[in-house]
Amino acid sequence: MTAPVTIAMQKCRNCGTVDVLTRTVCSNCLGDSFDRIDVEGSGTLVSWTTIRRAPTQFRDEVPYDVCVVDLPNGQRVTGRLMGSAGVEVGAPVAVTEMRDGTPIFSSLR
Amino acid sequence: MRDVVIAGVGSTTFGKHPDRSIESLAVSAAAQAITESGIDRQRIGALYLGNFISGPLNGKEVLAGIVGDQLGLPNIPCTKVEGACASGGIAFRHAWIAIASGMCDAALVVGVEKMTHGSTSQVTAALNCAMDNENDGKSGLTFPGLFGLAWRVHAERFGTTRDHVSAVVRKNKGNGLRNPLAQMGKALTDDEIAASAMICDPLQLYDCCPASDGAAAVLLVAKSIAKETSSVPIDILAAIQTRGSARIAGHPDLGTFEATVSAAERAYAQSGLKSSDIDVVELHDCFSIAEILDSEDLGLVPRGEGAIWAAEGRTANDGDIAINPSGGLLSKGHPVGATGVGQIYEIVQQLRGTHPNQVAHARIGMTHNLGGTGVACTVSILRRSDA
Repeated sequence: MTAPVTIAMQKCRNCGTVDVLTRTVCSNCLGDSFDRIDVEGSGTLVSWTTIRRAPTQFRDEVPYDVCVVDLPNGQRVTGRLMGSAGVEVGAPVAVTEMRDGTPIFSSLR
Repeated sequence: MRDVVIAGVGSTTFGKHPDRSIESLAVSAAAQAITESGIDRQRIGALYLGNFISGPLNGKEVLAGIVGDQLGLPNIPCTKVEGACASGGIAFRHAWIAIASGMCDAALVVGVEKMTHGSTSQVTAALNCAMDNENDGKSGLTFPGLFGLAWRVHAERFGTTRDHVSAVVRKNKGNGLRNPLAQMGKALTDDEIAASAMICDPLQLYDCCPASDGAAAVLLVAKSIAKETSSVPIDILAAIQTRGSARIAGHPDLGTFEATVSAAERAYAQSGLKSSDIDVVELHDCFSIAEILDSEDLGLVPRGEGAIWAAEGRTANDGDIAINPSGGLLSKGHPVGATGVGQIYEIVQQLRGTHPNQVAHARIGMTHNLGGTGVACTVSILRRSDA
């Protein structure tokens, strides 16, 4: 398998706190200057579910799997999961692509 | 801070009201509460109205002012508050603050929502306004989805099974049969529940509360003027509101809501009571698994045993702690902004001894209202004044 796609995050230039890209100020120190960093897009599966009733925006995509993943840098992210059949909590997963800011994970097993 | 009591309550049925406007529902419930209290409307110094999505689903805002106007209230501050599913509980707490602080002697709380006229996609999209749509929302996650994630974590950690969770569904749907305000009481078997449509694995149709129309109202007064009221006053021993993570991935543990844990701790501290003092609770069972998490987060059931207690009947009306004798959101319905106020209505009836599904010797009751992805939570503790 090829190396996982990275996830872009922001790192506060003042205190070094890493967070999702959408923060205007750092929730730790209120600093407003950030560096964009690339975080390793692999981790362990915290949980997942199959969405079968979706809001209007995603209605044509059902069913699809949404997951929560812990990354090696301590960040926890929400994303999509491909190929969930037989997968278990704690399974290693990796990002295969980013789609509209959402990481798409696949099981490494 | 001054002592505050509940002097009157009112409620519409929860369910489908296709022929009524959202403000009409709110006004009906509020008029009942005012009339029951016997308090002169001129004494009401503030109105707080809990509502979530009257804009997207009804095209109506400034509801608090509209309702105050239709009720013939004086030119008092009329304020709509919003905290997703916790909007009603937040409105209640603000009215309590207004009186406890000495700002006024009487305050009206109304909660209302009208949503059954929308399609499932429209309602799901409107409810998703309560998500962090810069992050979680982009993944296509939904609120049922959040609780599907939580169920899987609870099952992995504590061995929670389909049949355990079905015990919550059976209890609440059964309780709803005895509550004339409830939208969908039903006698269900484990097989029927397990055969219902899959919504967000492992969450199935009967694990989900319905969309509802409805309103509830409560009139609060300073205890110093409680002798002027015509009903048995109910003491407010605690009224707490907390914040949790606004992002699903911001929760350190998907098997618990930190906003509920902290609200419960502060409510016990404010009231001087402990969890074993609570006789009856109306808690936020938007989904069956939510009741299990909530009962543990509130300290009413040992951590990890929420499902077992339900399966053993220990959360039934004659159990160790009566949970959701109203039928809860699962069965009574979930008109989002009305839910937290409806919970207060239910506990007041229990403490007066007038509930159609009465818990024997109920003296102290609790309500728990959770909003969004656990971003807002309210907990209150109530007691009969003469208890």
